[in-house]
Amino acid sequence: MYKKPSSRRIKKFYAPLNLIPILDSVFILIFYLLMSAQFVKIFEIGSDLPIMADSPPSNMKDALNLTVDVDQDEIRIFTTVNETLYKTIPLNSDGTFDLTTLTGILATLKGRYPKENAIVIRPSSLIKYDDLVKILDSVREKGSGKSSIDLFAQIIFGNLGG
Amino acid sequence: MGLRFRGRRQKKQEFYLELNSLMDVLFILLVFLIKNYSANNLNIPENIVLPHSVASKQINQAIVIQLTSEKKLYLNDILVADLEKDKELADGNIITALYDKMVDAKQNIKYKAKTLGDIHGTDEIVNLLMDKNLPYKYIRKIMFTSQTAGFKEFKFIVEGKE
Repeated sequence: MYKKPSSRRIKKFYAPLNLIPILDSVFILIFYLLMSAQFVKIFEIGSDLPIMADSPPSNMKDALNLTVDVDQDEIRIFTTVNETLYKTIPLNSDGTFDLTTLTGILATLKGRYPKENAIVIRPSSLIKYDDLVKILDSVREKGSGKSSIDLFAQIIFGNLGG
Repeated sequence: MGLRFRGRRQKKQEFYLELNSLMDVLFILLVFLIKNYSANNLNIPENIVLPHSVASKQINQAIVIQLTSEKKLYLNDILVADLEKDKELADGNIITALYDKMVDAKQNIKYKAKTLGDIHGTDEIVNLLMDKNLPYKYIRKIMFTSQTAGFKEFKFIVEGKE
């Protein structure tokens, strides 16, 4: 008669996983990422130069030819090839630009000319860069996040030569 | 009986440090850092306060023009001109010192692309890093100089709002 072997003798020994090398590499990686981390999120707003062509485009009459003049006391919107004044937007009562109205007008124009993407901007010399960026944001899209509507994303500065 | 088992009872157990919870924390930290890691190596000097924008487009590798709040002009972190002191530089449409350096930079990028197959950066894009309180007249001059030097696209570097 054989006896059942003692369970104590065949008890398995599980060696714990040696995590120290992984821990070392993770620590090195974390230090590297922390050292090179940039906590300020920076992005870009693109602008192209005006395209020079030898011959005028064929459908000039139908083109929106949207131009926005930014002065210190108002924003003027021009349309068509002859630069007809479409709207003038005065400053808000607190002296800031009325960007809500600007976006609203541009959204209306985008509705009429859905294929148009270009906008010519001519800021005056004394406009602050911060205000200019706000205007660029207003002409590029309406709203923010997933519910935003693209307006005129192709921004061209029309008065670089002075 | 007591004497027979005394040795076995006193046998010391090996000590294992429980690293699993520490590993969990480190991995969460690692994932967070990798998620927020930005590959760009853009240097933002302390005397440049970037404007805030809703833009969400990641920046491209290109040459960088920096204009600080003291109107010191840098090209790729190298001082090119002081627009506050050098009035003659600030009066004309072209900033000559910047133009010369940009022509050199363009040739350098072209040479690298041809000989080394360097794909980082293009010879037509300029990243503009400027203080938010500067007036547009400086931006216009920098853009006009860049245009004359053969750069066709401008990227305004802004701080994200998220």
